[in-house]
Amino acid sequence: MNEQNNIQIDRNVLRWVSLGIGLLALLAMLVAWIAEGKFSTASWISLGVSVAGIAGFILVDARAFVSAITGRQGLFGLTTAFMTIFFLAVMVALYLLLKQANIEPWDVSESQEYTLSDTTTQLLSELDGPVQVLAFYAPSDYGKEEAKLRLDQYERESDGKLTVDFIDPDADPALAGKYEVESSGTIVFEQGDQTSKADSVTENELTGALARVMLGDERHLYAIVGHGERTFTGYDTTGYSTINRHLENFNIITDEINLLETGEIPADADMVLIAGPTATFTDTEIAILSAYLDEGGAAMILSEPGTGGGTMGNGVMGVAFSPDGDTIATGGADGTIRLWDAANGDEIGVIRGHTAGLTDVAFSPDGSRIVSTSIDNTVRVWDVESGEQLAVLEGETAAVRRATFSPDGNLIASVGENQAVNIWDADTYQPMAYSPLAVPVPLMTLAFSPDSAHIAVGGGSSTEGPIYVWNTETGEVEISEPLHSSFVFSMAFSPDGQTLKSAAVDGTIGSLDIESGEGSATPRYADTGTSAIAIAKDGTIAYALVDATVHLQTDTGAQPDKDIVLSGHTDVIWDLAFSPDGSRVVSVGRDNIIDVWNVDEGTLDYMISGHSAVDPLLQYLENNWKIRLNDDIVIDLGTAQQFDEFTPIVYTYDEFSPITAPILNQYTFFPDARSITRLDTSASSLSLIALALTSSSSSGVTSWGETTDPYTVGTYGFDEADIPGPVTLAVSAEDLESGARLVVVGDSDFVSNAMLEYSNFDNSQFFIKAVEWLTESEDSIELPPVNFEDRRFDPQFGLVQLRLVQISAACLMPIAFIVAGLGVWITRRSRR
Amino acid sequence: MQTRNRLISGLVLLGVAAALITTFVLLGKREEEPEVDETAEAETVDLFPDAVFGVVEAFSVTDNETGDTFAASIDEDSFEWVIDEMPTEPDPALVVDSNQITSSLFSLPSLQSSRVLSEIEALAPFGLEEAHYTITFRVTSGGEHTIYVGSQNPTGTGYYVRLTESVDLTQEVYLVDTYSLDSVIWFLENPPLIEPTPEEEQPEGA
Repeated sequence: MNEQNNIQIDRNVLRWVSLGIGLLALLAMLVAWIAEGKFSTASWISLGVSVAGIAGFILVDARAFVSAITGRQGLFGLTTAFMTIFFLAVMVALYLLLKQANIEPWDVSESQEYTLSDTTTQLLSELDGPVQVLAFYAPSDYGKEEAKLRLDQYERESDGKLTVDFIDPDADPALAGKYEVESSGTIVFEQGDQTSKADSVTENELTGALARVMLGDERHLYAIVGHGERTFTGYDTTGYSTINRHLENFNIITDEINLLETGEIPADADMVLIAGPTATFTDTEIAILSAYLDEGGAAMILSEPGTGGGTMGNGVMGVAFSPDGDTIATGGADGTIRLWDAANGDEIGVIRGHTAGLTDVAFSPDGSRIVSTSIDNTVRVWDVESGEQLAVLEGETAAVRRATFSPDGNLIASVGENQAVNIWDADTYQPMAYSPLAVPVPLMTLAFSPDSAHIAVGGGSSTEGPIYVWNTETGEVEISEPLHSSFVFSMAFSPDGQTLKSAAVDGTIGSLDIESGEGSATPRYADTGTSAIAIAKDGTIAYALVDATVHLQTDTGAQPDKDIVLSGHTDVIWDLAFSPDGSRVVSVGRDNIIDVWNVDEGTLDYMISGHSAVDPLLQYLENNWKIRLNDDIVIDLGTAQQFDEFTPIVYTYDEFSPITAPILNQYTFFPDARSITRLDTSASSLSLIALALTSSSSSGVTSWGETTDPYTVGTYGFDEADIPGPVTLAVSAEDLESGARLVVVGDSDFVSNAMLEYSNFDNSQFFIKAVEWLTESEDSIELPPVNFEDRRFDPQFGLVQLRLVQISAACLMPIAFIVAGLGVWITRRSRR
Repeated sequence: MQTRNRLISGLVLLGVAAALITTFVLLGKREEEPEVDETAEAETVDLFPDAVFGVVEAFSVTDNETGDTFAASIDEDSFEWVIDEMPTEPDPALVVDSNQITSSLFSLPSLQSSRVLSEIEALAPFGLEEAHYTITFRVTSGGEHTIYVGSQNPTGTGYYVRLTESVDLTQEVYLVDTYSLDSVIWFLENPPLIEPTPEEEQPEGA
């Protein structure tokens, strides 16, 4: 009996161990299946062990098993298990059935953000023929599922007229090439021979692309060039090649025109773009633009601070007296050379040709030619009499700072940002054999010795101010002297050619002996800094100080206390020049003022109000369109944490404009922008809308205060002349009579290649929407804005809510189930 | 008896449910079939599994359009790279930049394909009917391998390549990372030559 009991116990143990192994193996199979995502060998082995284990449990004591399942309790248990499995199976079958039926999902979001707008559904219902949608997605592209969901909606609503195919661009490069697909996630709409593309699966993008393919025609945008504008063919950080690609996707074809060459705006132009000109427009160009807009044309004008004159510009940067002393030539940030009668300051000529602001001018020794430099990266030679351009000297590749003729008239030399001295033959304009002479720093200034045997150059950085001297015959370096410890801004030879004087921005004055190569620098103007130096033929030295004064040195002492101080400028003086007889010195500066001083008396002979203070383009906007581009730079302390004070971030837009309504919930930013003022339009047929506004912590700063460095954070001077924020950065205008449309933005680099790298901002969307409005293609693709209400839980402001969620999930729910279970148990027990 | 009937009903319902699920699963599978792109596999594949741990000792790259070839091999004595062939006459003042060659070839034996395309209908769309470049390399273990390089993919991230000389459509086309091949193709126009490093002067008396 005992033995029988032992066998029974062993059998029981074996049975339950077998079941345990079987269940564990079943668990292992499930884990392996889920982890590997497929039914692998390990899963099959686990399943086998599991089946063997469960079979062992049944077979070791089959009688006990049969009696267990055929007993009353067993049958109840089995029935319950079968019913549960049946319920789950019905649920799964129901799910599969619904999935099979491809039933439209319900959009339970408050703002119906997953439901196609009425505009889209109407557009789909109006399809007059089949539209093929090719969605190019790589298999690994996570956006494919979202695209599928969204395009399914379009397919359903189109009543079979729109069909969607997903294409793997890597597997079908020929098809991708046919539609010029360059990235996964490009969606091509095709109807007949018309195609358009969408770069994302937002309803705006997709419906826009659909509308364009239905619309069919291309739009032509002409970018006006010739004034240093940004170009669609510019692939560097400042160019517009990226936004050009976006425009192409919208069937907008871009091209460039120079109004002075074409004389008109092409008849097929849907709009023109003026993107950040740095030189001024001529009256002729303004007349062409005005005629085009009067006929109902459209234009977008993007303007940077400081362009078109005013205190935010560089004013007049170069000045020279003619050898006979009768004429003064100046080079201005407006891109022109102006000639003035030295006797009274009357303007006697304007020379145009540079495509950006000028930095220097110099006469040839015979006075017949002028050489000029510009930030358009060119050095040009002009005939003084006719104003005709004689040559564009080849060699410079970056902004050019200074150029001059050698005193013997045989050479022309220039220096600039490209860290080299370029020297040309002044007759043939061919570079000298030894040119260019490379240096390790950007250069700011140069000077020929009076005998033309040497050329000295200087420049540097905020920590070094070296000077180099070369032999002009051999091109061999004679002196390389780290004389200053900051930028050398200006230099001049003494009349005997023995000494080179240099002025650095830190206020040190250098003196270099050309014979010995020895030099020294004294901190004569260390309190203020110097920006220019000139030496008259009699040896008189004039300095321009950063505090906007001109100092005439009267002794050789180290201190400037005996200097004659000439005050009149209100901003940095860029250049000085003595008249040939030394009786007068002329100074020019950022304040756009040309002051002519009497050296002997230390008084102002006369003042010229610089180059045209108002850009004809800005004047046209103000007079004809009641839009004033303010002479300021916008500083926004409220949004400075993302970039800096000079880069306002905009989140306030006009909510009804078709340009800004689609981006109401998005951010844009405008680096180094100027503000815009809408003038009174009550007496006109104009409708002006402020499209984009900065924060209330911003202002349009109209002067730099005490500092001359605009980009030193915290040093700008807020004053009463500033324009208080929020300020307007972009305006749209429509002439209700002629139908002409205009968009003006106080910034041009917000859609440059570098700025479009910031993909979390919607600068490109803003630009594209403006183009669509201007080309009148917005009507068919305008979608009502969807106001999303962010209902996500914010733990920062809802700690009580968080606790409630935690308590209800961790305690209340389990307690509720336990209480319910107990209730059922007690009820059943009381019935027995 | 009632319990037994319940059990039988439960079993019948279970059977019906199982039949339903099977039907829908099979139907669903059949519907999804066209979307399964069997010609494109996204798994990475070693192109030369037997050379993965090898070191390149000789290689050549040929522009099949111009016929220009750049070839170099490791000199058995000096263990430095020597140029066997290049499109233009080398400047005698320059020396071979062995470091550049070594670093450019480093990933060649372990080249991987991010996509394998099979059942292709034509090689021309991949630029492989007449491959643009042919790269051949030999590893220290002795094996010689050839890659026929076609066009770049539309997104510019890779080159299509084939591994056999034939233009048989039953072969597979591989997509290989652009950078790995560009560093070798680059030698055709920019031979790895540098100015020799000046020898340090010996101090007097040394």
